[in-house]
Amino acid sequence: MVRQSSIHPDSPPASPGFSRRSLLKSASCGFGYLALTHLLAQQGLANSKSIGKNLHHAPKAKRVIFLFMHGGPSQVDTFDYKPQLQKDDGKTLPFQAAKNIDAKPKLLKSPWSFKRHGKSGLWVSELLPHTAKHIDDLCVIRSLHSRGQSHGQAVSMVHTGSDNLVRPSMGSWINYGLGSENNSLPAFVILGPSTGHGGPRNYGSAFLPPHTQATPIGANGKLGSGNIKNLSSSLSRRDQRDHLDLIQELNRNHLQRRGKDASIEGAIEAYELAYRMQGVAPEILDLSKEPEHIKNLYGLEDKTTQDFGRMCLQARRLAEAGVRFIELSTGNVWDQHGGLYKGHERNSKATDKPIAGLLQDLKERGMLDETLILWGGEFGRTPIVQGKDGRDHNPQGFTMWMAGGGVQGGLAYGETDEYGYYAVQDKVHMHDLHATILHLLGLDHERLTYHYAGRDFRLTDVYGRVVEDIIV
Amino acid sequence: MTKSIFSLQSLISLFVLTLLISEHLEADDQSNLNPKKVEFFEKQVRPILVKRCYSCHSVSAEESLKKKAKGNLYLDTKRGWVQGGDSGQAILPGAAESSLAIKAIRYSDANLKMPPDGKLPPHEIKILERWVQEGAVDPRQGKSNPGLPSRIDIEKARKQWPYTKIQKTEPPSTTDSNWPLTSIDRFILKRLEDQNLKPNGDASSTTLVRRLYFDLIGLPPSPDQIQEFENHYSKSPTEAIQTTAETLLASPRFGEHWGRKWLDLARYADTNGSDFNATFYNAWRYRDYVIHAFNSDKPIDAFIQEQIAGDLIYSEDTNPTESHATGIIATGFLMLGAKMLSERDKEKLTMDVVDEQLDTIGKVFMGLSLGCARCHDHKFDPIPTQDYYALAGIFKSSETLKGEIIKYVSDWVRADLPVSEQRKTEFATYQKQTQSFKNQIKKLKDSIATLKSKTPKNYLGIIVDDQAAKKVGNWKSSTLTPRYVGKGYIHDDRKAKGEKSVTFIPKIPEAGRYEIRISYTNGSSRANNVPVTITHADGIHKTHLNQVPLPKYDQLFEPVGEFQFRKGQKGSIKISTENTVGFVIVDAVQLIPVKLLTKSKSESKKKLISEKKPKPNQVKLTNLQKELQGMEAQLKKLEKNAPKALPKALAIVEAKAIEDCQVRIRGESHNRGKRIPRGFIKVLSSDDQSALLPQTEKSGRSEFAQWLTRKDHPLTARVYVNRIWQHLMGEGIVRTVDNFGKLGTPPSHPDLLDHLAQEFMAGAWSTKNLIRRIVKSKAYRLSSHGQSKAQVIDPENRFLWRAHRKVLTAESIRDSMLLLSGQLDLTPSKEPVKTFKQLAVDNNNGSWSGKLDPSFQFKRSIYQPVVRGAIPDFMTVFDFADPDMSAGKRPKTNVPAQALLLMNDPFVIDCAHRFSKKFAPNTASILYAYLSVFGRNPSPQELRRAENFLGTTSMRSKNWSRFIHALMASTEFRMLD
Repeated sequence: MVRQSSIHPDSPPASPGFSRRSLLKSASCGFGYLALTHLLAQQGLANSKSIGKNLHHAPKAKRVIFLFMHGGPSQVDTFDYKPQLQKDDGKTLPFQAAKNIDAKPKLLKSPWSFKRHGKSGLWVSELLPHTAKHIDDLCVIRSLHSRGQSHGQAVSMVHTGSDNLVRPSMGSWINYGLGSENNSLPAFVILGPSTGHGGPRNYGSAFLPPHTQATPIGANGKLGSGNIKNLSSSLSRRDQRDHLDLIQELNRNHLQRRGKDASIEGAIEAYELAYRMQGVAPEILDLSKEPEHIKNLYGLEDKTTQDFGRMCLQARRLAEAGVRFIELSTGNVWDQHGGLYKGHERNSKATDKPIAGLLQDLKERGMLDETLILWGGEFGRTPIVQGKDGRDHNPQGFTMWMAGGGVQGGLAYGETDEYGYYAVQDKVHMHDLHATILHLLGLDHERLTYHYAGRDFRLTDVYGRVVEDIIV
Repeated sequence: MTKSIFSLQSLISLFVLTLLISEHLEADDQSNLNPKKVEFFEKQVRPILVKRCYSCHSVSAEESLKKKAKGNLYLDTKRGWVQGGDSGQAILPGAAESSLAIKAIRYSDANLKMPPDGKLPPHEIKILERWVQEGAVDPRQGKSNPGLPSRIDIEKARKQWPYTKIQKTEPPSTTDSNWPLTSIDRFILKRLEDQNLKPNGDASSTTLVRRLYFDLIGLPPSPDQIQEFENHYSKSPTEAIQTTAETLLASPRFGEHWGRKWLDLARYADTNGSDFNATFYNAWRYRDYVIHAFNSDKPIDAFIQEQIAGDLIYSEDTNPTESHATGIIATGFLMLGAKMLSERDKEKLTMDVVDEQLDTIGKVFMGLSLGCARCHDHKFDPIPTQDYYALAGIFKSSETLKGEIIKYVSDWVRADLPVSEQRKTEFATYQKQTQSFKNQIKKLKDSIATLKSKTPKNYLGIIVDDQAAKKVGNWKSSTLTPRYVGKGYIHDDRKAKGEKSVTFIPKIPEAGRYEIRISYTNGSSRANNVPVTITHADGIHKTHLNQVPLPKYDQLFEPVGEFQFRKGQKGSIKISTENTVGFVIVDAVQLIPVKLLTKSKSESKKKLISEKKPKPNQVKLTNLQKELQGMEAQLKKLEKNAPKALPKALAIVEAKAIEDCQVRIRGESHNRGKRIPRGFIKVLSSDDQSALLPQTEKSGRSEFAQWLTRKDHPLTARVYVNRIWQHLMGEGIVRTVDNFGKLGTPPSHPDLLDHLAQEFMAGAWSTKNLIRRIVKSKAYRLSSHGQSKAQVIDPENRFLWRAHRKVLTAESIRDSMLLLSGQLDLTPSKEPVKTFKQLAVDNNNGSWSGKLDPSFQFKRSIYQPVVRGAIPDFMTVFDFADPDMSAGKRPKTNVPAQALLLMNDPFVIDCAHRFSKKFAPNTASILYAYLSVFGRNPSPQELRRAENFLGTTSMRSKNWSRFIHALMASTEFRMLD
């Protein structure tokens, strides 16, 4: 299914008369190749035959699926089991709480029970019974920490590595570095993105070339019609082709009248790409032809799971089609300042089965090894209580997990303190996570740079270390 | 306060110590070292350093990772830690407590924790503490810290481009003396001749007129205007260009087109964007100010000064009086940035806002990336961190943020605009009057309520209202759900269940049996098991009350039983909240003597109320109600004729505290360093002295504005002139228009740039004059055709052998489509986001929270709302500048999304359709369509192809619309040859 891009620098031009340069310049879906050639030229690595397969080093993963639990799921109610917290419920937190929060310094135990699962025997709470079945594939990082006590900053951090400045999204960086595997589809797709907490800027390209930004489908945790904008035409395929032929003839006349011009050549190619996309994308986006057992695997038959289930299934189809970075957002639903029990129960039910379905499906198709799955929110939640039954924001220590794509399954990495509040052991900063993700994709986070406004920018700014211990 | 004193002290001591150590170091000699201490170092200390620190802080780390040591700190030589890193000297021998390195490994400072991935084991910390305390004997020798950035040599930098003064340059002489029309051309031709390049010939007249129209007003010429130009051009090309340019420069469309380019730089938006996308209701005043500035050809030095310090430059006494308002509005430039309003760390937010302002000012006016100097000396340009904080002091002494919208979310400043005394008085009187009415109305309403509340007297038996009851715990009063006894009722807010109660103690006039009824406002959110405890003559009775269903009597009272009561206050009815979930409501209790009830069961419903006839206050009540109605009518009338609200602007004001700013080490807002006197950038001042802020009581913005626009400022005029050149010629003389620093591209024609800058300043900083000069030149007229020879020598056209092919902006594409389809409405509009809610984007569906007046959709693009995070697709697809960041140059993309939009977007299809409806599908129409959309006539082959596409009679009408659509979707329409 994964196709070799036809705009590979060594492959013959699509039609005579187009310079290789113009093709590269124009081919936005496969734009990453332009970035790549620039990048490689900088590094003195251009003309390598292994282009795209091997950037800075051999990659472990080809793509990323980011399951973004917007709002911040609680670590101590999901993966970070803390017996001491269960014991000391109601007692005063014996150390300083973080600044600027509304929670009282009173410990609140998890209302859910935990059990060991799989061969690894890692703890998972009863909230996530389906995910728990795959625990031996998960690498649970329990020592994440990040910047941003409020959603805006923290959501920006997890996406762009900056809590205050406008920076390119991780997906844009990866798109810039690697491009798409499919020249009829965008390389970075986001399903159900939230409109709040920064909205598009979290999946935008900032100063990177605009092609590297995400193509959104749906909004706020829902797939909606599941279509890409302006993809459908009111014309029949035949009339479309006739119409396009006329446009292209006008464009070629223009080119002929004006002599060689890369921007006109680029536009001509963009039209052909758009036309191909119109032909290919609807089929990829159409979930209806999936067999029943697959639909059931993702929970499409059940109202509680169908929204996220459709997104997970869509993600698998996009992954198969060669999209590099696919993000799925639950919408901002995990923010339980109160009503922890009801809220987390509802959110877990909505996502647990679809996520397990995705893991299983990818595994059965042999795709899990080359697909890096990332699960988590912008931060975790406090082990201390807010109101009667809520938890406040906690960027000081929280859990995210990864699976497939070169990470060790059945591994718990890092620790928080005895109550699950602050990350204390083998701490992993958000910058470290980003560095690690890039590393798994074959990119060195210190060398994946973009020159803008007088200096070289990186996803990890001046920070970040690759967490080698979790890599296979 | 104590904190800053402390850090000042520690800084001083650090400084003294550093001096001592540096001297000591010079004389350092291994043979003098205490051998025992050396042994301790080798056996205990060095292994820890190697194991725990070298991976980031050593030369070997630098070599293996191809990057500098973290924080520029090297711990693999003694000199490394003595010189220290970005945070200063790492180790103070003999002073473990004050040593940064020890602080770091103790994890005692939240901003400084090393190693970052986990604290060292306690015994290792002890060893390092002991080593430092005992003098930090360190035998490791090595050259000076390789990671330290080299000192910035300001004096030397002042002699290098672009920090040199703008030079007076004479146009060079050229071999071909016929080609140049203006002095500009001599600079251009000289370089072409040097390169052995021949310039293209002139573009055709049709190309030129289209170029002029789009370049100057952003709209295409009509077929008539093309014809007129051609006629004129055939007689005198120069005159034709000049006349047309004058017409266009005088058109109000000029300011709309060029103002928009400035708005890109000002990162203009009508909403905050970022995490809290609040609506900027008043931003449009700045937008209109910019449009007007370009239309009236405001001198650019004044234009710049106003945007930095307009509020300070003018006062209420300035003549003309509008200038004061203009000055205030102009400072909107500083306010427009996207701010992380919900940042809870307000010190950090303040520094971030200042940073955003400085970064924007640096890029827009000086082509410098000042933001780089926030954390460390600029790595490439001669801007030390000190200069950054000298400027930061000026902007920190100005106020951008003020108060909070909601908890943790900062609000921003809205400045009052000056208005006439009369208007002020009018508005004040109006406010006073309405307030007075409102007060009276409230009083009346209260009186009426009190009168009405006396109605319980008319209930049968004894009524005890919640106001008279004994309450335990926090009860909330409410009148939300109507039908209650007295002025309202109270509820437990579903909080502290079991800790609250209300006890009613009725005064019983005579002993006897009473039926007890409890009143509440029912509802599904109510508790269904409210505990009720009745203490009566025979004992205590406990029961539960379900407050979900409607009460039995009068939709208000629910009976709970009959009990015997003694005379006096001996019994009670207690309502509590334990084991309840929903709201517990407490309103009143009623005790009715049973004998009254037994009279007649059928009457029992009415029996709630006594049969005593008209309430004594009914007359009074009626009068009060009449009075109320009268008042309300008067208020309504007053409000209907209200004077216009006093105008406010999105503008900066002076802060309460005017003070110098402390350096923030590594840019961490809480990591304070030395206090830097406010001032300007040294390398851009003639000497260090003139970089200091003159004595002032104010923030210094005014002085900064003056400094920025003085004629010997090396960058301001160069940067501005380069921007105008870029928009007309396609590329800047310095192509990185926002970066004139070392990492920008050097100028292709430095002499020409200085020549233009000089003349620009001499010509009163007039934009229109500058534009006139450029469009009159031969260089502007060249065709954009390719040339096989030049393409090889100068493929990027740096020497301007041809005109750059430009791409129409998103605005021009949209406005032209509206114009061609006969829909464009050229009247300006105000207040684009008037109908928006406080949050500009609906969080459920991502759409705008306000509905636009339908007339807006036909206005020029500059008048459309710019909603951060929700820019219309059409605009983003065609590379509209991202309003989150200042942009001197929009990206040029060529992507399928554009093709998809042009093929399938209903707006495009509709515009094509409307255009096609105006003409019958015949040859004349095809010619007209070509002329309208492409600005030229079709060739015979093109005409034949068009005829072919239109096809047979039956298909013609449908195909005609598709044909127009194809023209609009083609590159020739979108590009400017």
